[in-house]
Amino acid sequence: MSRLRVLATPYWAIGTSLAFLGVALARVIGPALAEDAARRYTAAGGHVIVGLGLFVICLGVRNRLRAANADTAAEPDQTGPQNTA
Amino acid sequence: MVGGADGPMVLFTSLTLAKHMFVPITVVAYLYLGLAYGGYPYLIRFLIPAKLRAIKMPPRAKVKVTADEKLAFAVVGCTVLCLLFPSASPLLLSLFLGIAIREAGLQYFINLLDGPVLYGATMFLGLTLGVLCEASLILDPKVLILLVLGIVSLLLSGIGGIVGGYLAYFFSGRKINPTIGIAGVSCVPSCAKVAQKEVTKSNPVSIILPEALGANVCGVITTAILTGIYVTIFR
Repeated sequence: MSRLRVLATPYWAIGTSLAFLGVALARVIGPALAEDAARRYTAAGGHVIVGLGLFVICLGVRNRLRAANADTAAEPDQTGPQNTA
Repeated sequence: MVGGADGPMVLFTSLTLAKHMFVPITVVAYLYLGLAYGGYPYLIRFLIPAKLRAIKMPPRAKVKVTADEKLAFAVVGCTVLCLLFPSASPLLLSLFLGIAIREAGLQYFINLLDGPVLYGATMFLGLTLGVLCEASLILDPKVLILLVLGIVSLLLSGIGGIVGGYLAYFFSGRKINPTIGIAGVSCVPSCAKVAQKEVTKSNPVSIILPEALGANVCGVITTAILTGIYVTIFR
């Protein structure tokens, strides 16, 4: 389970929720509306929200990588000589 | 779709939207995929100066995206996109299923897909096209239009990719080699190899292949989504 810890971040939760909300708007709520501008806007908005959700997930992965790489770079080099005296 | 330079997407779109034109469209598409090797180097040289082609990429990060993240993204991405574009769900499922199997480390299935399924499908595709490709079909004047449209779409894709490369170059503070943009045309791995070859000619120590392959895969996903949009709108 510890391997899945990287997925337990707000980015994944928010991104996934947004993506499914977008699907609901585009495929469930939009088609249920009357055939007018509201229907088109709801469907288009749903598609945009799906893209936004997937983007949030990618942003989260990028931020995790940046933080992890910063930590790796900050760690002292254990392979070099320890005592310079 | 020929501009996407991705065989399966062209096959799927032509089978869904223009079944009667399946053979000529596929023949033209695969003909042009071969031309990517011959034409794109000239496009790169024409649009990207040697100084920019020689840029070395910034050092690569030590910590990489984990297999769990890739697997989870494949599941979420596939579910969401299949629900959004049901007409293109077989295509999207095939794409993400491959990613899921590889990241899950299911070696038997990886071997099965890598060998018999891949080579078997390629052989039977070639055989089917060969059997269906009659002289009258290829000599149809419509094929001439396809040839012109195909070359224009591939040219526009290449230019669009390089514009994307320039955007990445400027937004990264002039660190990213703009040649990577051409690999956004999803002809895997030809476009990435072409990009690396041209970069190597300008600077033999500059390696952009890993990033170019990343752009290649992004191109595949984008082409799959565009296929979904085309099929949903025009069917």
